Amino acid sequence: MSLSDLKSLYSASIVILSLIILAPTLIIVVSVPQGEQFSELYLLGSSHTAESYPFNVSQNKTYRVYLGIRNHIGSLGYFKIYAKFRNQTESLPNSTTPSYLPQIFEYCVFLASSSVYETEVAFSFEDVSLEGGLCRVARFAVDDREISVTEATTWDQQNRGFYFQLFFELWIYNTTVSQFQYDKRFVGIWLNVSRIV
Amino acid sequence: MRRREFPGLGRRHNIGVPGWLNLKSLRQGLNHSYILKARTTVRVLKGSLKASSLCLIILITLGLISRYSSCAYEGEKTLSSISEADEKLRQAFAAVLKAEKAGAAISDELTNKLNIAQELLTRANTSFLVGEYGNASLLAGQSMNLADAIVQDAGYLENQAESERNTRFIWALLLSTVGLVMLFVVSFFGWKLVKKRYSRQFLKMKPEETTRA
Repeated sequence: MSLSDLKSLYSASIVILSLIILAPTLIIVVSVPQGEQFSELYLLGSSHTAESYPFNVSQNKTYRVYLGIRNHIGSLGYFKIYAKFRNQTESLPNSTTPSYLPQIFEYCVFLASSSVYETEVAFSFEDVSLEGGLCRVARFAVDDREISVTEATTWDQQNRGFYFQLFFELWIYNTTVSQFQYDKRFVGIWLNVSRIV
Repeated sequence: MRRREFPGLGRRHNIGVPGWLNLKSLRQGLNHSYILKARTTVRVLKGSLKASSLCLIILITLGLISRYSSCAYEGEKTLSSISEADEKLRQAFAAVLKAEKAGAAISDELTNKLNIAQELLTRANTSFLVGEYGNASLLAGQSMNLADAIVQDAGYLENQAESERNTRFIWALLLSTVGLVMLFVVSFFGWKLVKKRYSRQFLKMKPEETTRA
């Protein structure tokens, strides 16, 4: 090994050692990039699993599902879940835009980083009528709160039923713009109300 | 029209009296005046009744208007306090988030406080929707107070975190500087030693003969 090679090796080891000594200071100044930041929205059936969801529903009977959020955004989050109700022809939210339908009720929660919020949603159909091949829902109850809705659907020949969808959109508060923004996540269940009539 | 003489009055003083004004008619006139008076009284009574009922209607209308306007005012006031509570809650969230970004450990207690303030606000909204303005204002006020307390707690945590961060940074910088100085001093003398050793080894080396083919 020549002297110049030895000198290079020595200098490199000094630089490495300097970086090791400076590391604690650099960690305080430079922010370390975090992993993937995301939120999670889920809906479980009455048995608290991803099955036994209510499907064939009757009037004045209570059904239960479990709605949950997981916070993986790396900080405290202010979330809102908007519950909406639609028939087969009305629009569903997609990965970028929420549904234009008005919310029938909402849940608001502050969730610390890496924590979970779960709530039981107990719902029932209070006022359902069948008029000229059209099934109308006028009143809906969620957690003992009655909500007026005006939704109607026609008979689905293919699937043999009157179908409505109860779905939940996740919104998150953005402090930069000081308002809630659609978090590009939604979950929902189809409900066949043909057993009512 | 006939002329009639009245005792004590000369012919010259005869006055033209209408035909209907005789004694009978005077008596009748007297009765008539009573009737007139009664009629007038009835009219006055009717008038006053009308006026009083009008006044009553006006008063009721005014009362209704004032009640409606007071309700509307109360409703507006409640709505304004709910909006204020909502704004305060958002500010509280922003303050806690800022503290967290500054390095403060956000306790479950603070998150729970935020959720309680949110719950109070939701209940205030529900009370407002059913017309319980007093209860709604009370709940909104409680939510606001809690949000203010959260802002204070978050501010304290942020200051504490910043102070701890600064102390940690100063210590880290000091230790790094000392470490670097020591490293450079040691490496400087170390290099001299390495170089000397290398030269000695180089000088000890014997030239080797290479055989030529």
